[in-house]
Amino acid sequence: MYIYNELDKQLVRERVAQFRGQTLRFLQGDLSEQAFLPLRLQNGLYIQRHAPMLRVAVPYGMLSSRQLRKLAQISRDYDKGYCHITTRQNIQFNWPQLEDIPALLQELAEVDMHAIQTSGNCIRNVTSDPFAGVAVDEVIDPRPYCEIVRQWSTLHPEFAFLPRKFKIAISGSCADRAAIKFHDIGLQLVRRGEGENSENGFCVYVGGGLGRTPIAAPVVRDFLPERDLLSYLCAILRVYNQLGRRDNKYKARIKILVRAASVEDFAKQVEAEWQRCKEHYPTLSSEEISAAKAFFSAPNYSVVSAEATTVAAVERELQIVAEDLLAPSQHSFRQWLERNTGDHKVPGYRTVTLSLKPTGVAAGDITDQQLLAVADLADRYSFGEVRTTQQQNIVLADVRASDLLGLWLAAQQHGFSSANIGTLTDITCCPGGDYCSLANAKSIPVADAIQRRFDDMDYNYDLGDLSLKISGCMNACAHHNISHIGILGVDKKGREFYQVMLGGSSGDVSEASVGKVLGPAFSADEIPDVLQKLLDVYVDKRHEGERFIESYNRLGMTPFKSAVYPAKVTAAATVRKAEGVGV
Amino acid sequence: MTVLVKVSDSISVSSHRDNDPVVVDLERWASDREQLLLTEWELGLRVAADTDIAALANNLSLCALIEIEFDAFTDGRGFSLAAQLRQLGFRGELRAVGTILVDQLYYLQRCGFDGFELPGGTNSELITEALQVFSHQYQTV
Repeated sequence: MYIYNELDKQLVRERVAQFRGQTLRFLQGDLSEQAFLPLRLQNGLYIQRHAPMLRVAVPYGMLSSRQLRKLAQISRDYDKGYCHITTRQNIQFNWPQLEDIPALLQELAEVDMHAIQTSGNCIRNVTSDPFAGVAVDEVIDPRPYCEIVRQWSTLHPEFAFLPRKFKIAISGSCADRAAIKFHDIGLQLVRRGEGENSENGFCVYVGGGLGRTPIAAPVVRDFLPERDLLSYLCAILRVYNQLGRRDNKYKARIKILVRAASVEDFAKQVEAEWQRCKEHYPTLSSEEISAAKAFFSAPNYSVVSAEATTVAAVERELQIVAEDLLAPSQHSFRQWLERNTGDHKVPGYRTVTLSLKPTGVAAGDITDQQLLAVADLADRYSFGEVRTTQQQNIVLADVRASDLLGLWLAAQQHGFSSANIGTLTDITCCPGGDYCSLANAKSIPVADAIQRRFDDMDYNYDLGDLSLKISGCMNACAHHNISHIGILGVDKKGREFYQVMLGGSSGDVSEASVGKVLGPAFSADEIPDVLQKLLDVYVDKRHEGERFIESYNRLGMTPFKSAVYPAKVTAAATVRKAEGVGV
Repeated sequence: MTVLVKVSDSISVSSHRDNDPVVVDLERWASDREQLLLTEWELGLRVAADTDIAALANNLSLCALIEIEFDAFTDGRGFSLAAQLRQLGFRGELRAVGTILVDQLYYLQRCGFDGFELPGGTNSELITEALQVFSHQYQTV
């Protein structure tokens, strides 16, 4: 992973000193609340329901074991012994004291971490594929480009006071595990040409987003040579900074600007600005790109096999051990292999996802002891590195197949071994009304009720790949509107209700879609029953091997709708009939 | 009362603005341009932060000063306008006026501003610190 040099460290120290001064001036009354607000937001500090919340940047989700240990200590010393992994791969502390924040930031700086631009109307942390560098379907490793964009966007003087927040995601695979079409800018790495003459570049999507106006981003440029990346980003940001709406917070994202005109017009504006600013911008040299790539070279893999290591191969290899050691729990280990490990481009290795979704724990929450345990597992089994995911889990990207059994046994001890990755109970969930002051409704108790109701894992395995995401408000932090089944908390006259959406998807750039509302909202208690009815329709009508989203795409909304609402319609009709009102 | 901060080889903070050019707005510039150019005066233009660069591009060599006015410190349009003016080759003084925070001086300077109008009584030490808060930068431009 990227290693900070002295200049990187110096900048973070200077930012901590700057923020220390700003906090002091605020506490002394020399800086107004109104002026401090954007300054603290640009350093990841929100004032929430119970306490300040500090969001720490995890650039494109990569963490070292050393950083994990520091986060454990900070959770213990400044918080209540846990922290939270967000849907943008960052880490949040929910209970620090405002006056302690400068000291907390100084501790983070010791391990090259910070909260720079994790909030506010500026360029936020760059996100990417948690399987970058190891995915079998990867064309180009996105991480070096993520790092180039991270540096360029960090403390960028021109784009710190944009109309609204700005998020960039980069992917280098066929499948899109970074939801790039739902970002302000999505960059898809592509290779043009063959052999010697081939050239790396980006397909550039602009103006995607979730929130109250979910939109899949259109393509603004289908090939941008990699050397021109930064000048082109500058042109997009400059057009947005100057022309994006500032009169209405809800219409201020770049997606509204792109849609206000046509994509063609927006692309022309960017092109004109690009032609102006390009000559002042040095292009990225191949040396700079190679230097960035050098930080992400393959770790020292042992050569163990010539063929890709599939689940079946691991099972064959482990057969004897498994039978001896695991007779009673062999089934669980199999399911874990199937759900929580993934193919790796290097034979003999697999990826492992540690589930942070056991029943009874808020999605993405992790204790100080668990952080230490992850650090130890990373050191022992995965070259000392981990990645956080948009689904709020943790990935060990480079695990030897022969270590999987040992890792599974260790993961069990620390509560990471729920074999539910990609299933119904791997729920992505924002902190919601329990923590967040923006929320209209709680989300954690709804997720908990669902996990408790659907506790038969064999049933969940039979349902197969299914994404379920719950957001406590329109801001859609849990990405509910690109989930197969999405749940949105809404407020109706002071009471919490939940709207259900179906058919969202972000796994593949060509199939990215926004979910549609099923119908009128439900109370929290009704949600597990509603979910059961939806799943019954799927189980009843699915074709052999068809995933939930595929059945939905084939069947449409109607069968799901009539399974959930007929009782109400009939009941209402009966009442009206009894009252002598025509139907 | 305001103070004027100027940054060249050194930082100066003063409450006077002797030798300031005669500053006009774009409307006056459009109507009286020829007459203004006949005078001996050094000329300055005051423009709003949302001014289109195209409206200024042909006047750059005629101005010794361009003041960009910020209506709100959270309105970042002036940062981009300044960067565009410098990229187009404007060599005169570029001054940020209106509502700006001392905490923004470093970024403003990086975008090409070399003059800043701040509320009277702003602590000079704070100004100097703010202008030098970072020792280097990632961006080449």
